[in-house]
Amino acid sequence: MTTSVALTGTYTSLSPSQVQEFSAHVMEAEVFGAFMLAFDTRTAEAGMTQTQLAERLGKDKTGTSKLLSAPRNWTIRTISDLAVALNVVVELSLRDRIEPTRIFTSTGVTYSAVSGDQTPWFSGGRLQVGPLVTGRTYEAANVSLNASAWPAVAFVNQHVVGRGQIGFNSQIVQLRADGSMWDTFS
Amino acid sequence: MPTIWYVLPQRGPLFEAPVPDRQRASDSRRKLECPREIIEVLFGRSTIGGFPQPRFLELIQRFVGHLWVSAALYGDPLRRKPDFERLTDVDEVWMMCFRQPKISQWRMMGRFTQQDHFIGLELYDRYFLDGKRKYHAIAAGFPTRWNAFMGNIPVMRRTSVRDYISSPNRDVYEPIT
Repeated sequence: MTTSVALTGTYTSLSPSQVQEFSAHVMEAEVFGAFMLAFDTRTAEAGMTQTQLAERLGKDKTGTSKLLSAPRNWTIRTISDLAVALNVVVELSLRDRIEPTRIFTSTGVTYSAVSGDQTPWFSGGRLQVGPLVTGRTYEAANVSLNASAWPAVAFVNQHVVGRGQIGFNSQIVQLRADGSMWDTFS
Repeated sequence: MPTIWYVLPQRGPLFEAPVPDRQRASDSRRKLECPREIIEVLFGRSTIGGFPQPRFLELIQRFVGHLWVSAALYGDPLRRKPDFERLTDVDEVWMMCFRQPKISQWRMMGRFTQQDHFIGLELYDRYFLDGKRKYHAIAAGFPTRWNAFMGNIPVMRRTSVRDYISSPNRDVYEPIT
């Protein structure tokens, strides 16, 4: 009988081009897996068949079968067509590897796991939030003082419920948890 | 750097294969355990040439990181190229198939001890396994080598890919309706 031992440390060392190759194929599997789950669910719940999916995609059954057989380098058009056919919305989020709680979305910047004192504040030209367990603050983002760029930051994390304050054109602007302006006062 | 045909550890503890891209992994129940020699080779930590292979790490990432993987329960007679293949005519011998790049394919021989828990004990260059008779002879001897290494640890014996690997997965021999 053997025992299981944990490995420690960084174990992977790839060249930049190898990282690109690795990342591309993992992403293919991520996208493919999500659509396969959606298709399997539509099949189980609504009886959707591959033929029906092919009709919705405007493809023949062979092409659809190939599409569903294994992860491939799909185009955005293919992803979009599948999303329409399966009646799902594709939500894209980019998690920051440098600041892993920070997530870029198509509508703003959000934070996935802000802990500690969750009230954001304005300091040194930046909106701040924290502190985190490391004892340092996480910088939310550069906040533009240009009114037309407002809101520059969106706090949609469920844990960020306090209202922050931000200097704004010589005014103090209270910040809603969702990043929108709450109110203005001098 | 030396080239090799196989890695056949005889004894020692098992190590859990790390997720190659940890930041990309979700909460995963899946686990890949191997002797240290195999992990060292796959992750390019040995002196053996040709590793790490990004496509090998991609398959490890997909399995351990709980992404989509494919499997076949009765060999691969129609060459549908699953990621995991249970061999025929032997007792619960599975291959984790590193099929890319095509010029350097490898196979990890092992077994599932429970759902999402694969133990790979031996690693072979696919070319070394060429020839049905040779392939079968090596696979047929695996249960004995497994017992010598693992003792009487229970092995999964099921009839559905879903029993071995949780979703998202695909039995490549299960027709899509």
